[in-house]
Amino acid sequence: MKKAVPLIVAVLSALLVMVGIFFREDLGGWVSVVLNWAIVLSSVALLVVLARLLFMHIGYITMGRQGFIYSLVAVLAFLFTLIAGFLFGVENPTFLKWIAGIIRPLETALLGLVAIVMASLGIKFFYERGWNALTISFAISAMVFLILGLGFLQAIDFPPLQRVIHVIEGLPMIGARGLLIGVALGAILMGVRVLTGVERPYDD
Amino acid sequence: MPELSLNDWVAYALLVALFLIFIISYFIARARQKQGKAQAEAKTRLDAILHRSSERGEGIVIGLSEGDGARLGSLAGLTGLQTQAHVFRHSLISDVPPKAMAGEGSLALLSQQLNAGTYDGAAMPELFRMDSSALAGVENYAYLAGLLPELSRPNLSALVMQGELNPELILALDSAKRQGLDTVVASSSLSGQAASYLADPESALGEEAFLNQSTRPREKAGLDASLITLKIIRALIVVGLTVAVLLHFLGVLP
Amino acid sequence: MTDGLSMQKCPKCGKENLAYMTHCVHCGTALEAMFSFDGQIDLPENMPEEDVATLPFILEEMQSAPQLIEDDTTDKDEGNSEAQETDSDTPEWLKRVRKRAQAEEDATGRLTKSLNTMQERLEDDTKSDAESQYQVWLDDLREKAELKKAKQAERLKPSPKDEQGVPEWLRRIRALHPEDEGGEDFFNPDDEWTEEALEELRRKGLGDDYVPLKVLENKEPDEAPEDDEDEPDEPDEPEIEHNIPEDDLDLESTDVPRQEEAQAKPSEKPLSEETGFVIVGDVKLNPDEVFDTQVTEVSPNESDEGLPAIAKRALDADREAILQDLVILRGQHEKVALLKTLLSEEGRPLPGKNEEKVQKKDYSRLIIGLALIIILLLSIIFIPRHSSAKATVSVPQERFSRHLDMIDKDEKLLLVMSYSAASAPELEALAAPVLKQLDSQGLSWQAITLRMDGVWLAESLYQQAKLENHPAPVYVPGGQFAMLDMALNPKSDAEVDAKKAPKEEIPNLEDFDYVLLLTDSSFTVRGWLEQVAPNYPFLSTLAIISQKEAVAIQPYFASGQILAYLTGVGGLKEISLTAGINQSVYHVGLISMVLLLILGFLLRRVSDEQPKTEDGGQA
Repeated sequence: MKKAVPLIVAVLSALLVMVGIFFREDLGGWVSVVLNWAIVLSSVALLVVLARLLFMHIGYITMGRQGFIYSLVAVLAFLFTLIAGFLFGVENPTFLKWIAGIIRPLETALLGLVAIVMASLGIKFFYERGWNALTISFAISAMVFLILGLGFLQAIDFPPLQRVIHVIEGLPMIGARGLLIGVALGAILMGVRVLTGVERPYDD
Repeated sequence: MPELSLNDWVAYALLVALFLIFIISYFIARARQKQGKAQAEAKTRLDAILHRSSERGEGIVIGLSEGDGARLGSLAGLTGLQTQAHVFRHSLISDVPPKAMAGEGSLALLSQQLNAGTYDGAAMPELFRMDSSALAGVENYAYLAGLLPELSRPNLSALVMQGELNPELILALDSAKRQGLDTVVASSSLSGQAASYLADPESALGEEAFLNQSTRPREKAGLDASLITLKIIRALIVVGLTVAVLLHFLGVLP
Repeated sequence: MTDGLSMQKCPKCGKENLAYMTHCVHCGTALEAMFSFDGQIDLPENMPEEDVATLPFILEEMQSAPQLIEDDTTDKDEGNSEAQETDSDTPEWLKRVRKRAQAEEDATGRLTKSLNTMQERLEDDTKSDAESQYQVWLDDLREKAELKKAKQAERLKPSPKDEQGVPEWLRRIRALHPEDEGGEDFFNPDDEWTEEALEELRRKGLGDDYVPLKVLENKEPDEAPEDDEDEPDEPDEPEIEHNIPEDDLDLESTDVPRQEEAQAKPSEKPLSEETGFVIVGDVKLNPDEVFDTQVTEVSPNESDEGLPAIAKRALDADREAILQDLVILRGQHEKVALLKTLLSEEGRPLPGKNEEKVQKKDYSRLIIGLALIIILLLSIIFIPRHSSAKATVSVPQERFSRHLDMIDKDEKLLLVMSYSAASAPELEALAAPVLKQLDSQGLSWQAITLRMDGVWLAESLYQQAKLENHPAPVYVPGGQFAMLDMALNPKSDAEVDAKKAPKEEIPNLEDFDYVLLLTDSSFTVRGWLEQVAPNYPFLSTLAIISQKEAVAIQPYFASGQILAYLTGVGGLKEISLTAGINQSVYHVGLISMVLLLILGFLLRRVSDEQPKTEDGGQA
């Protein structure tokens, strides 16, 4: 019984949402109720987990764990943002400027780091895996698309070349389509497994 | 009831076929399990990682979904939870217990609940710790900022990531490699798959991102059934596309 | 049924029991005293059952092994019959020795057996006083040593664990086998004989007939003379896998150097090679390394040739005794080895624990990063911006511009924002001109954001688009659920008025004609197209997406689910064709990447010529 209740709730909720999509006029209201419950629960879950995160960091500080200084920064930043948000309101332009002024450079720097790491891994790709069909095709395709990105070849007024370029530019879409079909199939199967109770990520 | 086009009918037919094939395959797999005819369990990289971490007394960091994909409705996130349960079931008494890092509130709570259930089911609830699952951050880069310090902890063995993961995950992968950790990645995001392939040649591609691992009979049968279903459906799609192309050239289809 | 088996009488009820019974089957009285040997510790009767249960299962299993029991009883029977036969003419000292040997058989093992056997063979030929004195002396010494051990063991308190957390059973075993502890010398000169001393004693006892066993074993088969016909051919003995116990002395000499070698280099070898039970890293264990299956082969037909008859007989008897002693199951050997490993490993740190991982000092990333940054900085500084630079226009780009031009001012557009701060510069450069044009066309539009940080990111976007006093985007929590909720349950104006909710906070999709997705995640586009768009076929979907995700939405563009999209440096045609990016610098960046790829490709050729190094490898 302990295991059956969550399973029944999960399966019924999923079936209701699925049927509601087909019979929107009749069941749309019910589906909306279920969805709103889920959204509210999700928001509460976020609050709970944030509180837990905060207490965890406070615990690290009080214990003096190695690297607790970072926990101190995290807690202070959290409290500063929370208090400022309550005091000034989340739509206050000054408050928004402050937040954006901190987050934007941080995240942009991380994105730049991602670019550099990718470039580095692009080189190591060959160094570590050697020359094989896969790495060589990767190298060729990467270089072809980088050169196409320059736009010099597209500027040449030669129709057969343009047709070839058009075909080449369509290749990523073919690959993406194949992968998307695979991802969709995997997602549907996962949905079926959850729906039939074979997988119970909410229970163990 | 919305009007259905030919595409819709094909899609729904495919969906029904998939459902039926899965159910049949599942029951066959269960029956084979009961008769003891189930296939020997394949040794995967995750198995190797689990064995190694057990032998060396080291921990595993599990990365669940992050960013947009971590929001409600992410099936890849649920798959990651299953992998997390598998890892925890095999590391219950590990010297350094595993730790799961989620990128969304409900996912983090589900993860904690699952861990509590895992320890409870193994009759050792006293070993469950609340910080076995934690929220790393609610968006892509915040998640990274929460995950990266975890990788610097001592006595770690591997980083296992499964879910909807963006290409920014390459920073975590790279950091893990530099710390000497093994990595297993399965992202349902196309760009995430491309990025992870660059760092890890054996990262999951396409539908593999939704295949988790389990030794429990029910879940194992579900996984076997999923693999069979995927093979059959893939074959059906290939045949269908070939026929459609032929019909197109014959002028039957527009 | 019990014929042929030795029996014992219960001291309490006097009824017969099998020889190996530990308790009387009739009255339940403990019979263990009859089996005890010197040095064995009797557990207190009131000892908790749990503590008894913690005694190593290995010892239990070895004691209860059927082979051993049979061997014991057989030995006893044989011993009894021989004793009866030779009782009349056996000297007193020999009786004492035999009696002693029978009692000590399990404890002292092969040493006693070989000495007994040797003594039996020698009794007809070399009954010298020196020898008998030697045996008596030897027995006395051994008895003293065993008593000393027993006293040591008895001194231990019966507490389950001592200060160091060592359990009682372990301390008892240690007390009985002090030589196993701490890598001390195998034989303690205080209470045991060294190999050399024993050899010397034998030499004295046997005189000229003595041939050292080492010499016999190491003798090459080629050197052996022809078969002695006087000696009956012994059948080929089956090769027995064994891990020779360290208590055994005669053939131990071959193993001692190996053991000493292993002890001498503990830090050079991984733990697995020392113990055979803990695998560290990629070490692959060979079963032959784990269990000492190297049987010291002593061929009965070859190596014995040319020996004096007495030595041969002594050797044969010795072998017989050894083989009897070695009839131990392989599983038991493994368990004994495991127990020894546990004893020797106690207190040592676990493998891998606190082990320093080799972190590669890799400066390649730093060099690459710095090189890229410097190249781009220089190109930004020195290459002039050509606003008239000719840039190609992609199909989606062209379509986007066309659709934007076609939008009538009576139509409404919903802007759905979902991007991170990191993508903001890229997306704002594309979106700001679009919003500016929409505003200039007098179009009505509303913005929502699916991410929390979208609220403050919109501020920057509006500034770039020079939009003043435009309402901030509404945060819609819930991801795909929120999208589905919007799609399934549209809120009409009347409903909104009835709830007295702010109208701008609840977008009604039926009011809109266009949706513009501004995102850095293909997941958002997919979610919208899967959850919302099928319910609103009249809604036209446009997208502005970061370049890293553009490929993932191409199939949706090809199928017409997305009418047009902008990405990367492909901005609005004729307004912001290069999305505010210096085209020349962009080209420099691309060329740098091409060069880096070529460099990596060529570096591989160099590394191919170098030997591969193992760095732990993948799992």
